Amino acid sequence: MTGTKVEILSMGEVKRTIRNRMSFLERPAPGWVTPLGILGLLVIWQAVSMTGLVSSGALPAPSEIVRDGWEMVRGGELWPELYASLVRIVLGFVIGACAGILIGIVLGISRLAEAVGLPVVNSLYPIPKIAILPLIMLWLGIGEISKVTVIAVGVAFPMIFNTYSGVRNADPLWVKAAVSFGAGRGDLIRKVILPGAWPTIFAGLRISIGTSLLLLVAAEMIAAEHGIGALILKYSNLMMTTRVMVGVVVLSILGLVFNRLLSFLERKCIPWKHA
Amino acid sequence: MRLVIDGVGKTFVDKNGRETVALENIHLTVSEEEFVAIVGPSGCGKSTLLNMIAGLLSPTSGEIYFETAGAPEGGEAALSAPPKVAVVFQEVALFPWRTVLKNVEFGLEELGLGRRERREIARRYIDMVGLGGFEQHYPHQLSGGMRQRAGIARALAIRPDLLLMDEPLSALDAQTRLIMQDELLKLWAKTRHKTVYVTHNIQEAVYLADRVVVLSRRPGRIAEIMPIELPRFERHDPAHQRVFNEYVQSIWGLIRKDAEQAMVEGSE
Repeated sequence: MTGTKVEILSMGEVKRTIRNRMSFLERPAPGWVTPLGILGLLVIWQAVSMTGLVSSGALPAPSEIVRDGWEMVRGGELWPELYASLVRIVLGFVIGACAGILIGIVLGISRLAEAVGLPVVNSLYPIPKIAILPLIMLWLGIGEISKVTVIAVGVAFPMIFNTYSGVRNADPLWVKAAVSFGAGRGDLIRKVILPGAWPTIFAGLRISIGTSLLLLVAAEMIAAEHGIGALILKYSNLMMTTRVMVGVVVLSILGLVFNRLLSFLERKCIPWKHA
Repeated sequence: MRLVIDGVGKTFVDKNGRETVALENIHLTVSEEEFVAIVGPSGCGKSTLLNMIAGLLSPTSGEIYFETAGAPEGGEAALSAPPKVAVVFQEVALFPWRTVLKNVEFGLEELGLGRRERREIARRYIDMVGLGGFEQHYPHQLSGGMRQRAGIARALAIRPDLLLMDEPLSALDAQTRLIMQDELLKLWAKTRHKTVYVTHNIQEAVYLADRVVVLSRRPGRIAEIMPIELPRFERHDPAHQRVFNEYVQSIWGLIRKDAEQAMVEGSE
C-alpha cells in the first residue's frame, strides 16, 4: 500500500506505520526563493545580453538600464518627469475614486437612481477610456485638466461597480439586526451598509491602480511635455532603448508602491478583516 | 404588559402567483416573566412568526400588539415610549466590523444614549454573559459560543420589554449547546424578560420554557400549547427524568408526521 512503511518485527509481527500522504501538498516554499527568482531572471537576462545574441538596441542589459537610470537620477532629468506624472495620477485617482464611491453608494441604496443610472453606467463602462481621450482633449484642452479627467473617469467606473455591488450585497441578516434595534435609513447606511461594503471598495481600488497607470501613460504619450509617458515616447523616437526601459522600470515601481500604500490603508481601514 | 398575537396568519405569494399559507390563525399571549418556546418541524413558519413579532415582516391577517392591564406604571411617558423588542438571531448577526463592546453598544446607540452611559451598560452585560476581557475582540476572533454570548448581551443591553430568540443555539456544536442552555437559564433567572424562543430542538424547549407551543406544518397552526409543570431550575435532575421524557415524547408525537413530511419535501 502507498504511504505506509512496512517493518518486520520479531515474532513474525508486521508493523505498518501510516504516513501523512498529504505532506507533499503542504510543503512550504522557503523565504529566500522569492528574491532568488528575481535575481535569477536578471542574471539570465544579463548573460544573454553579454553574449551578443540580442542587440543592446533591442534589449539592453540590466546593468546598462541601472547605469542610465542612475545617470538620469543624478543629472536630475528624471525628477520633473516623475513629479508631473505623480501629480496627474494622484489627483486623477483620488477624484475618480471619490466620485465612483459616491455614485456607487447612490446607485446601491436608491431604487430610483438604480433604475435610471445603472443602464447609463452599464453602457458607458465597456468603452475603452483611451478612445474618448481625444474627445476630452477637445472639450478641456490638452493641458493638465484633460489628463487628470481621463484618469478620473477610468478609475470611477470600476469604483462605481464595486461600491454598488458591495452595497447591494450587504448581508440581509445585518440589516435585519440593525432594523430590529430601531436603526432608521440613515443609520442603516452609515453603520451597516457602508462598513460592510469597504472590502469590495478596496478591491475596486486595487483594480483601478492598473487602469490609472495605463491611462496616465496613454495621455502623456498623446500630448505632454513632461511625464514618464512622454519620456518613454521621446527616447523611443530617438531609438534610445535603454532610457525607454528606465521609464518602464519607473512605472513598475510606481505600481508596486501604490499597491503597498493601498495594503497599508486597507489594514488601517478594515482591521476586522486582518487582525 | 402582555404580548398578544391575535389571529395572525401569513400567506406568501411567489412570482408565479402561487400562494403558500405559512401560518394560519395563531392565537397566543405571552405574560410578564414568561418564557414561551415555539417548536415545530422545518417549514412550519416558526421563524416567520418570530419575524412578524419583531416587526420585520407584516402579517397577512390578524394583529400583534402589547396590552397593558390597568394604568401604565410610568404614566404618560411609559405610554409614549414604544415597547423595546430585542432579537437574538440564529447566525448571531454580529457586525464583523465592530468589536464586542461596540456591537453590544449598537442597540444603545439607537436608543440615543450618551457614550459614557453606553459603555457602562455594555460592559455590565458583557460581564454578565461571561465575556469580560473580550471587549476589544472582533467577532471573527471569537468561538461560536462566545459570539452567541455577545449576541445575547447585545439583545439584553437594551433592557427589552420582549426578548425574541430565533434558534440561537442551533449553529453551535452539541457540547457548547448544552453549556449555553444552562447559561441561558441562569441569565433568564437574573433578568426575567418575557421571552419567545424558537427552536426545533424539543429537549431544549422543554428544558427552558414555561409553555411550549407546538406548531404543525402546511399550514402552520398551533397544534398544542403545553405548559411544562416541572421546577424550572431542576429539570435535568434525575428525579424529574421520567416526566421530562414524557413531555419530549408527547411533543415528538405531535410533530413526527410533519417532520417526516418536511424531510421528504425539503424545507421550502
